[in-house]
Amino acid sequence: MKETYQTDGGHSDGHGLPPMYSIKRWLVTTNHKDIGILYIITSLFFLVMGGVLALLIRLQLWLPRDPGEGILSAFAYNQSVTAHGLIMVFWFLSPFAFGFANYIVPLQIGARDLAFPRLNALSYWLYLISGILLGVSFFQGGTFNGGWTVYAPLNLPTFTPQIGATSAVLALFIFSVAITAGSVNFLTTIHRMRAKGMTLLNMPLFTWTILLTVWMMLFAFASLLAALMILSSDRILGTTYFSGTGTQGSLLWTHLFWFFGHPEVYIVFFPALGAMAEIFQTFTGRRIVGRKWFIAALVLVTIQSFAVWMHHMFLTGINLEVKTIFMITTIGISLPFDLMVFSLIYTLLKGKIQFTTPFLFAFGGLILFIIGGITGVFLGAVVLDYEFRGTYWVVAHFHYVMVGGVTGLIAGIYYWYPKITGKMYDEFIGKISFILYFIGFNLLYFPLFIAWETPRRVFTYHPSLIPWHQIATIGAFILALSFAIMLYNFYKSLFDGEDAPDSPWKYASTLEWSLPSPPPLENWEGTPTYENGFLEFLPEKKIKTDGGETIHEK
Amino acid sequence: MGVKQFMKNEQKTQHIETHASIWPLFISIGVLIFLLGLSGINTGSTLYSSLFVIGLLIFSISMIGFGAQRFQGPEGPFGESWPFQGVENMKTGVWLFLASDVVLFGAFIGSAIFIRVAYGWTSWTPVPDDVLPGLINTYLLLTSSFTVILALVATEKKNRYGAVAALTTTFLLGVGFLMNKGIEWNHLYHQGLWLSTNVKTSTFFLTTGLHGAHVIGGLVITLWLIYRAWNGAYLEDNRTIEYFGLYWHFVDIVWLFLFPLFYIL
Repeated sequence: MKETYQTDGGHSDGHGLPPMYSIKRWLVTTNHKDIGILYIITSLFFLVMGGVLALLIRLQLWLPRDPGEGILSAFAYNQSVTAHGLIMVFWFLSPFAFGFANYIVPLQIGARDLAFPRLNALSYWLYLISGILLGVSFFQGGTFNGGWTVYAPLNLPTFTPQIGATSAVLALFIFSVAITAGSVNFLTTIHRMRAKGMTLLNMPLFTWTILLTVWMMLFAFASLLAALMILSSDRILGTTYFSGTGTQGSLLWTHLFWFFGHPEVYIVFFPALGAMAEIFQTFTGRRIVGRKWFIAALVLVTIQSFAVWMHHMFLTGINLEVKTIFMITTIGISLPFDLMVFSLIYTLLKGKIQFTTPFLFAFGGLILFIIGGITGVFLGAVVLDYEFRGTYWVVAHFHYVMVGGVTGLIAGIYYWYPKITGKMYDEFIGKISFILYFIGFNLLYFPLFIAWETPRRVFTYHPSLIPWHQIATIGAFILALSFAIMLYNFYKSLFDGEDAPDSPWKYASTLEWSLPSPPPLENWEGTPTYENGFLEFLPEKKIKTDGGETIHEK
Repeated sequence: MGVKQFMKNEQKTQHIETHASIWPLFISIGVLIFLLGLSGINTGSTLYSSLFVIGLLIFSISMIGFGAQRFQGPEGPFGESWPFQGVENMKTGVWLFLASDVVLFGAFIGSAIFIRVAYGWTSWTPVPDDVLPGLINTYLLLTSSFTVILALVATEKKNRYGAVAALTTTFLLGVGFLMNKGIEWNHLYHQGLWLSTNVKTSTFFLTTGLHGAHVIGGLVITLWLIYRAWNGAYLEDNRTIEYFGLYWHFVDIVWLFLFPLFYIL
């Protein structure tokens, strides 16, 4: 029955859905694959926005300067640093990962769509308008300029009186609402709608990481939501939560924020880890070593992630006993990660590696994450943290972790590009983009470890560190160039790439690769099942109506 | 293939899913305009106030459109659903939402307690000087939770007017709760106590206000249920009332924590 598939998924009689070339389609669609594409494109837009801000920051840091010198005013610099952080963490990273999650997870578990398709569309549109609101905030007297952690008391009108700062807080608030709706949707889908035989333990690793990500999101973002509601109320209604009891109000903000903020690190990183695990398996032709333990480690991290937040607060007046407990939980959470890293490395050793672009990015992501992880252990130790807190060590560390995660997700976009578009990307340009990416990344972030004595969030530093900051700035532009080449590759291949077969990867084993590229609107002709231990499609009888016509055929 | 399997497959193909809805976009546009208005509402400028009102209008109309649209999502039974085999999608979704709401209220209540500890636990007295309005409200909410169950029972007995009557009682009890709270807040306001008076009144008004917002949301849903029940819905399938009941009980239970915290301790 393959001939009856519309391989562009764009047939106009798709249950009232206009064809893909129509703009209307993209305004009304509730299909998980369409919304996945919308997420990916929108998040790439925010990547460019956050990236331009980062380049502005790096240009300003070319030399240590006094306020007002260089291309950014002091106020503009603070806005750039804040908005760069907010955009990259909230409006780029998670939505980028959830573009894949939308597209791939229902395909991997054998579902026709998410459990609540309209709610899924609502999540996307709320995400988009939250980003637009953040963009508008720049023009309302300047956006929020108190750092991405929105610490009290800087988050109060006394210090950030501009209307744009309030808009930024409201943007973050509605973003959190969108995330909560999305979490409910994905949890219901993954827990309820798997194909027969696909037990939790048989689930592909990417779906596993998304499942655990949304569990963390469900609780972590509720805490952020509360924090932002209280903050909005302090800013608009005039309540005094964060100012009424002096420094304790500031401490309250850090509790609320980091109870969300630390799980957020894993929320951002897990999807990348899942993509990396899939890619390692596909391009080594081997199942991941210690799969069960890998999953157990993921679950452990998910639970433990809610018991480490105070390590962001070692410089506050919390007593030493509590700090010690949180030091132990923090160092402890690196152990399951060690297990996962070793499991990925052993998979490489035991398999036969194909050096495709997605593999290179996934492997690069692993190396960067190892460096980021090790440098993080320093920060987890109370005594060392006293020294490193508020310096560029922190900046370098979390960029290695977070942008290491981005590397894994870029591996993912190369990996699933043929499935989503039906075209192959250009392998040669892909490899060039990887080389530039890896060089640019390390030129940008590694010198920051060496120049760690630079104070964070400040645009001046000791002149002896100038060479390191200039190397970093050059690296930033190389990294930006690699993204430009990557986007060019995707754009060009859309028109003159080769047509992709169902599975361009020889050893891909997950369900999405058994479908045409791109998959038809309702994914399956029959009902996918693993009941007998392997993938089968149970035939679905075409229902005869009175006129003898069939429903699914054109 | 057995006859049973064949029948099942036949039923499945008859089920046609919807893939298009304009309402999520319209709702979001409404929210954007509303939030833009809210951001500068304190400036007192007409631009911001009108954005606020227009956004709210677009949002409300779109929500009605969203609710009224007949939309067919994926339906079970699905292959593997552990550990939620017996809990259908919507019910799972409601429970998950409530789990997240528990953390939301947990953070609000935690913040209130945190601030009270910072302020000095014993030097803090409840904001309302009179415990009676809070107590009455507790009884009103408890009773309204009971009447939701009566509505559920009525639909099981295929009693359309019973269901409408029970839901209307729920609605009236909820309105009573809000009116009682309004009188109380008005009274406090005239004593010079409001959101921004001090940190104590901040926690009182904001936390009970968040709860009040949940009550208002519940009442909007109740109105919808009454309208649908009047037209004979829920007699065959009363799951919607059951799921609303879950939410309504949750709002009730939250009050059972707020009442002692803000009126007695």
